[in-house]
Amino acid sequence: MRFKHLPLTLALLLLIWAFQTSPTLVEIAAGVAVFLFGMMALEQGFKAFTGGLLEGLLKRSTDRLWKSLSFGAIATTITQSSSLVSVITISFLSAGLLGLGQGIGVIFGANLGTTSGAWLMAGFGIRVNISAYAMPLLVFGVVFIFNRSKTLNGMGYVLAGIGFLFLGIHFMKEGFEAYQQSIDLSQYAVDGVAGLLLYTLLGMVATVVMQSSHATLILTITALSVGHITYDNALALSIGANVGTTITALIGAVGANIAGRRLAAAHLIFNIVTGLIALLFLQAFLVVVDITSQWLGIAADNHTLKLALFHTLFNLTGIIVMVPFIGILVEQLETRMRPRPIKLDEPKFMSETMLETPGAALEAARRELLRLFRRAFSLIAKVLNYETGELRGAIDRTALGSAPASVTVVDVDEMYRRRIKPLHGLILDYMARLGVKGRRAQQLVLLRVASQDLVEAVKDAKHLQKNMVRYLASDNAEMRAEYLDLRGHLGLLLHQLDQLASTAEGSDEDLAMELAELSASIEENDIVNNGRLDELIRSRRITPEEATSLMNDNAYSYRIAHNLLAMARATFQPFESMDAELREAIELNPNEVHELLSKPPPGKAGGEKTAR
Amino acid sequence: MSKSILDKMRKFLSKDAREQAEKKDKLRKILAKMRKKQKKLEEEREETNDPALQSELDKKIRILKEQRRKGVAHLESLHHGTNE
Repeated sequence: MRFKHLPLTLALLLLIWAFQTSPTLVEIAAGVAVFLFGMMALEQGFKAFTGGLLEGLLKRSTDRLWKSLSFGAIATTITQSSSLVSVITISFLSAGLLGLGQGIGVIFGANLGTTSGAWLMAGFGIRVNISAYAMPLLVFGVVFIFNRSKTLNGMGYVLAGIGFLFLGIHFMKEGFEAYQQSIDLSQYAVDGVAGLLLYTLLGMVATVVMQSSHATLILTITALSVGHITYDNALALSIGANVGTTITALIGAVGANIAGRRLAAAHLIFNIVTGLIALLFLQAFLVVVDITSQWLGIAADNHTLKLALFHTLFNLTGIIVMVPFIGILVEQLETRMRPRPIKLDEPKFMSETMLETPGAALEAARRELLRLFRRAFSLIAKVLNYETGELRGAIDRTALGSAPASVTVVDVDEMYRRRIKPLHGLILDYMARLGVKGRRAQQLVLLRVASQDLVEAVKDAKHLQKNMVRYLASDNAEMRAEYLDLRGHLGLLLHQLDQLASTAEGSDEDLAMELAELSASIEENDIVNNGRLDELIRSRRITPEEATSLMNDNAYSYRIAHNLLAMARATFQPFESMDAELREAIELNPNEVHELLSKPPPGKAGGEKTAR
Repeated sequence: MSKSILDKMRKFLSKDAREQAEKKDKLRKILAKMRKKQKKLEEEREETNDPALQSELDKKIRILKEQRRKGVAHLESLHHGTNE
C-alpha cells in the first residue's frame, strides 16, 4: 500500500526535473494539460447539453448495423469524444437496451469518428492563429456556465471546452516552434522497421499516459507540422495511439459489468487487428494515401493532412475487414466471457457508470424492479403453499383452487431480509442518486412507488399467512373453502402477472387490456363488497369470530392484489410506451365493478346501451 | 389553401394534436381487441353447458362490455376535444 503512489511521485519528479532542464517543455506540457482539460469540459458539456438527445438517438438509430456504425461515427465527430460515446453505449448495453452486435457497431463507428480530430487539427488547427478563436470562446463559455439553465450551462462547457482545446493546441505549437530554434528533435528519428515499432510503442505509451488518443494525435500533428518528427514516425505514432486508446478503455472496463467488459474486449480486438493491418500493409497504405491525396487536391508535401488521411483510411479498412466477423465476434465473446453468478444482494442491470446516462439508468432500475418482482412472486407463492413452478408456464386452473398436499409455514421475515430487502435497498439507493428532471423525474417517482407497492404486498403476505395456514388445515369446510378461494385467486393473479411480465415488452394496448381485466377480477373477488361474507354470516355457516378473520384476510389479499397490480402498471413496460390515460379510460373502478355486478344480468334481448 | 388543408397542417404541426391522434389510434386498437375478446367469450358461453362456467363467463362478458362502453365514451370525448 505504501507504494501505491510511487508511479505518481516518480512522474511528478520527472516532470519537475524536465521543466528545470527545458523551459520550452513547460509550454508543451501545459499545452497538453490545457488540451486535456478542454476535452473534459467538452465531454461534461455534451453530457448536459444534449439532455439525453444522444441517448434518444442511440435508442432509435441502432436497429441496423449501418445505423450503429453511422451513429458511432457521427456522434464522435460532433462531440469529439469517443469515451463519451463508449460510456453511453456501455450503459445501454448493460441496461439491455442494446445488443452486443449493435454496441460493437457503435464502437467501430466511434473509431472512425475519432479520426475527424486529426482532420480538424491538420486542416485548420495548425494553419490559423487558433488562440485568437480560443479567447472569445472561453469568455462566452464561462458566461454561459454561470447560467442556471442546464442547456445553457452545458453549452457553456462545450464552448469553454473548445476554447481550452484551441488554447492547448496554441501552447503546443508555440512550444514546438521554440524548440525548433534550440534543438532539432528530428535527429532522433529512427528509420525502417525499428522506427516503425519504436514509434508505435511510443504512441501507445503516450496515449496510455495521457488517457487520450486525441491528445497524442494532436501532439504528433503539431510536432510534424514544425518538422520535429518525420512523416514515417508520425504514421507509426498514429497507429500506436489507436492501439493505446484500447488500453484506456480496458482500464475503464475493469469496474464495468460483463456487457462493458465484452465491449472493451471487442474494442481491443478491433484496434489490434486494425493496428496490425496498418503496420503490415504500411507501404500499400502510403500508396493509397498518395493517390487519394492527389485526388483530393492535398499537396504532396502536406504531411499533416496526409497523416489525417492515413489515420482515417486504416480505421476504415479495419471496419471493412471486421464487419463481416461481427456475428462470430459476438458469439465468441458471449461464449468465452460468461457473467459470474450474481449474488442475492447484487444488482444485475444497474451500475455506477450508468448513472451518467439517466435514460439507461432508469431502464436498468426498472429491470431490477422486475427482478425484485420475481423474488416477491416466489416468496408470496411459497406463503400460499404453491411451488413456484406451479404458477409459471401453463397452469391447471382446477389444481390452483384445490387444497395443497401439505401446509407449511414460511419464515417470511427471514426470506424478506435475505431476498427482498438488500435488492430493494440497492434500487432505492440507486434511484436516489439519479439526477433527473421532467418526464424522467415522473418516471422515477412511479418506479419508487412501485417498489414500495411490491414490498407492501410481501408484508401483507406475511400477515395473511397466519390464518391461511390455520384455516387451510381447518375442520370447518366453509372456512377452508373460503381460504382456498383466497389462495386460488392470488395464485392465479401471480401466474397472470408473471406471464405479463415475460411478455410485457409487447404492445401497451395488450397490457392495458390485461391489466384492466385483472383489476376488475380483483374487485369481483372481494368477498366483503360482493356480498359473499354477509351471506356466510347470515346463513350461520361461519361464526362471527371466523368472519372477522376472513374479513381481515380478505383485506390483506385485496391489498396484495392491488399493490401487485399497481407495481405492474409502473414497471412492466418502459415508461415511454406507457399511457396512463389510456389505461384509466378502460379500467373500472371498484364502485363501477360492484355496481355492475349487483345489477341483475340483462336478458339476451335486453336493450342495454352498452358497447355491442 | 383550402380550410381542410390548413386544418390538416395545423394538426400535423401541433404536438398536442399529434399526441391526441396517437391516443385515439391506440384506444381504437384496444377497443377492437376487447371486442374480439368479447366475441370469443360469447362463443365459449354458447358452447358450454356447465352452469358455473356459464355464470363466470357471463360476468366476464358484462365487465368487458362495461369497459368497452367506458372506452368508447372516452374515445368520443377525445374526438370532441380535438374538433373544438
